[in-house]
Amino acid sequence: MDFSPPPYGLFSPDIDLMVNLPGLGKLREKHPAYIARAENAQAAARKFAVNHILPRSLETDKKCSQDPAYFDWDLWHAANRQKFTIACLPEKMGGLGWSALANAAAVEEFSSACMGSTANILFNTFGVLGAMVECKTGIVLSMIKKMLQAQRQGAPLFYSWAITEPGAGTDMEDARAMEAMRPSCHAQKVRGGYSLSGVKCFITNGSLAHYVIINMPADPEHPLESMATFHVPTDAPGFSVGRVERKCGQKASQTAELFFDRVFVPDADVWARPGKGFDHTREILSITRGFVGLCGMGIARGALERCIRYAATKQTPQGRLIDQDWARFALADMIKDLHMVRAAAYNFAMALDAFHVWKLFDSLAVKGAARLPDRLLLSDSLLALAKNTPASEAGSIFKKKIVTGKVLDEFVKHGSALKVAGTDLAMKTSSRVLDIVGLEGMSREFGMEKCFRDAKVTQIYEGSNQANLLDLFHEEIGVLLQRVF
Amino acid sequence: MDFPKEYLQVVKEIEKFAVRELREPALEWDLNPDPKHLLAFWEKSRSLDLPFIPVPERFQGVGYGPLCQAMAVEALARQCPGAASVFVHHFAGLFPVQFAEEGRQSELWRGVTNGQGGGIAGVVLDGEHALTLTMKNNDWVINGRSSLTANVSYAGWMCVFTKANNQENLCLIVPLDAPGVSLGPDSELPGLKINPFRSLVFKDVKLPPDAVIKISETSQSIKSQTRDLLHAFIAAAALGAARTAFEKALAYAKERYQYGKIIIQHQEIRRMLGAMRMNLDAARAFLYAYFDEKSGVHAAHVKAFCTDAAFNIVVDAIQIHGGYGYMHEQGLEKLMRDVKVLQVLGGSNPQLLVDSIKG
Ligand SMILES: Cc1cc2nc3c(=O)[nH]c(=O)nc-3n(C[C@H](O)[C@H](O)[C@H](O)COP(=O)(O)OP(=O)(O)OC[C@H]3O[C@@H](n4cnc5c(N)ncnc54)[C@H](O)[C@@H]3O)c2cc1C
Repeated sequence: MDFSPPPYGLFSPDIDLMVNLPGLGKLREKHPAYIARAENAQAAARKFAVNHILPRSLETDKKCSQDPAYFDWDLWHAANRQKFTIACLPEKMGGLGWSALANAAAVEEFSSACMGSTANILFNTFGVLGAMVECKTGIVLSMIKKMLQAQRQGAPLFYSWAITEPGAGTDMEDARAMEAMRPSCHAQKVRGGYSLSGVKCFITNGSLAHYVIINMPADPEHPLESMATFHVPTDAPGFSVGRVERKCGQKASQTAELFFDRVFVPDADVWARPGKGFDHTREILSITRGFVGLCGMGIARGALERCIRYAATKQTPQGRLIDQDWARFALADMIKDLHMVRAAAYNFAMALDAFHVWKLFDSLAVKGAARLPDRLLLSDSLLALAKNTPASEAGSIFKKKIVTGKVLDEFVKHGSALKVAGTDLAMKTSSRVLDIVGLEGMSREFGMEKCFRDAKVTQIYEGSNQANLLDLFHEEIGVLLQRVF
Repeated sequence: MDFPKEYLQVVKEIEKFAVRELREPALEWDLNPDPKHLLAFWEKSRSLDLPFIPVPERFQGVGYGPLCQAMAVEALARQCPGAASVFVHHFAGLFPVQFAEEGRQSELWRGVTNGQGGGIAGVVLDGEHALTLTMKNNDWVINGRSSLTANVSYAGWMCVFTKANNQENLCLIVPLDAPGVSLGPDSELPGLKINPFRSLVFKDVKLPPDAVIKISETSQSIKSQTRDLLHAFIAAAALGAARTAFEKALAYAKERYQYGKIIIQHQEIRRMLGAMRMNLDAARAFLYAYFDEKSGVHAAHVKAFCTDAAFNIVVDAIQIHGGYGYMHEQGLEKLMRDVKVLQVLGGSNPQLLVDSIKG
């Protein structure tokens, strides 16, 4: 059989950011460089997805079903060589200088090829995000320095974000829930720092992490009032990794249990002091939930494109599958939903550039710093200077001026909406695609059943969709109720 | 629906048996689908006469009809839809045997009851007309590659429906050890893993004239009855899985705390559970209505409705379990994969809906 897939999406060499989002045209007139950078990110990410991720995604998925702790290091190193692991750092510092829009374009390409690999390559941003949220200059600079060094040396450097406990998932993501929760973790105040004890579960990259950013209450009787955020190196005594979970999908990405047995954390590594831990979480979620929605959209797209490719060549007794009227209606209906969610996703990404921490990179202070010669920027003396308290707090204060409480509320609202829309789309599309292609199309080799297995968890992590809907209600309608009625 | 007392009795036994023999191993079989597991289970199931439910009493079988078979499939699927799917295709494949000549019947039924080299059956409907059948020197010769077929790892013979080159419809019994029969590669479907689906490849497979059970019109009607049964049994398997998922979710909602209370105290969780229960009951009523001839219910509709309902139930059961639902050890994500395969088995649901209305 002459198999020539229609050149579409993932299977086409043509960059289609402007084709899919023609509304960007007006923006491009004013900010050509902003759009060009996103197009370049899309081009680089698609090339990488097609040449590196796609060819091995099924094999890796299979290896991980046998051994959940299998990790595809070759793929990771290839991504690291192209700096995808430090893409968000400013170009001048040695990163790729990706805007949130550029990042979104890349996330869509990666996740349409393989969601598990996407998590391995890009979810490391949890580390920088956590640091940016607090924006203590010394911490941010030393983290950036470490990341750049590791990238140059080709050495893995993983950050995990650990909030979930065995008995508390939603409880760790919602203030009302946290108030009523019974935490099993405890950060006890000791001289010079805290002693952390307890178990965290379902932690992405937890088994690979060099550093964990973790939330624990200083007073388990009052979790919301005493929740704090810590930065913990995983070689700290008392830290250990439990099992790596056997999951339904996203198998390439490891999810692990983490044990803390009186792990000492010095005061300097307290990122958010007791009582501020929940705010830290909420601010991270205000960014990451939207991105999970975007990942969901990418998964849906990957499933749909594989389906179109399959249906275009599959013969049925009535002719090609794609020529069946019912299949055409179903495909068009799914593409319609994809377009709608994609528009919302990119709108969210651009809003991050306009109003959220990405704006910091645009600000004069950071631009000024980035103009310093490389050696000086990351020199130890500058670091030491940045680490002294007044300078460090300056970063924090400066950031809070840009990312105000009101801005955060808006992002929690839009991020939660996008999270639910994108992940419901992922599940609906990847499942419906299997209904179209039937038993044979569901075989492992066509990759669609993997999209389906990968999709389900997106409705669960980064706050279950129910938790997201609750937040959306409170931020949009609840606030209105308070004001008007 | 009033289920006959003796059927309820049988199902009760099967349920107990399935809890004992399937509940624990099902997850292990999912990871390591070695056929020997299922064969050992089959062997044990013989002591309950499970494989002989459709075999007429006069041939030492149980002689209970399709309704009882569907109930048995549902009971098995509550613990392992994959194992249940072997029975689905076995029962469907046995259905045409009753239309064979008395001598041939006796031979085939005996094979099932004594389990020697033909204890397990299967069925090939050849909806894609991929097989060809010709008559050569008084032998039937079959060629071609079937679409993905269940029970190929277990069956002694397959009941095959196909068209001869003179356009006559035939129903034949094809032993899988006949020279020229081989198996395509494992398709590695996401679910029902203990029953790997492969295509059957026939290369000049010669069959004696008595392989044919029925020809022409009668065969056509047997074929549609067999397909209908297959659809009803698939629906039953999906509902067994859905029932388990619902029960697990209900139990979990009563023990999991978030917001300082068990999550069943959150209205949205109860709405979800309410919808699951509603769809489960509606789907079961629909399935068993099919066995009431007066209802005029379409088997394809039963299959489409029940598998879609089951799918939504299982997905929501995972959601209620949060992160735990996505982990293998909970058993729910396996049910989701199993039901997803049941959803497209016997024809994908949108296609079945289209075909169910003559235009
Ligand atoms: C693959 C994977 C990777 C993960 N990675 C990370 C990670 O890197 N870091 C991390 O900290 N965590 C991680 N998680 C954990 C994830 O964030 C949690 O699973 C998620 O927050 C849900 O929590 P839970 O599983 O405890 O479910 P629960 O909070 O126990 O919720 C159970 C069910 O109850 C529902 N529910 C709860 N409250 C209400 C209410 N008031 N009204 C209606 N319904 C309600 C929920 O929606 C859900 O359906 C990961 C999980 C998975 C599966």
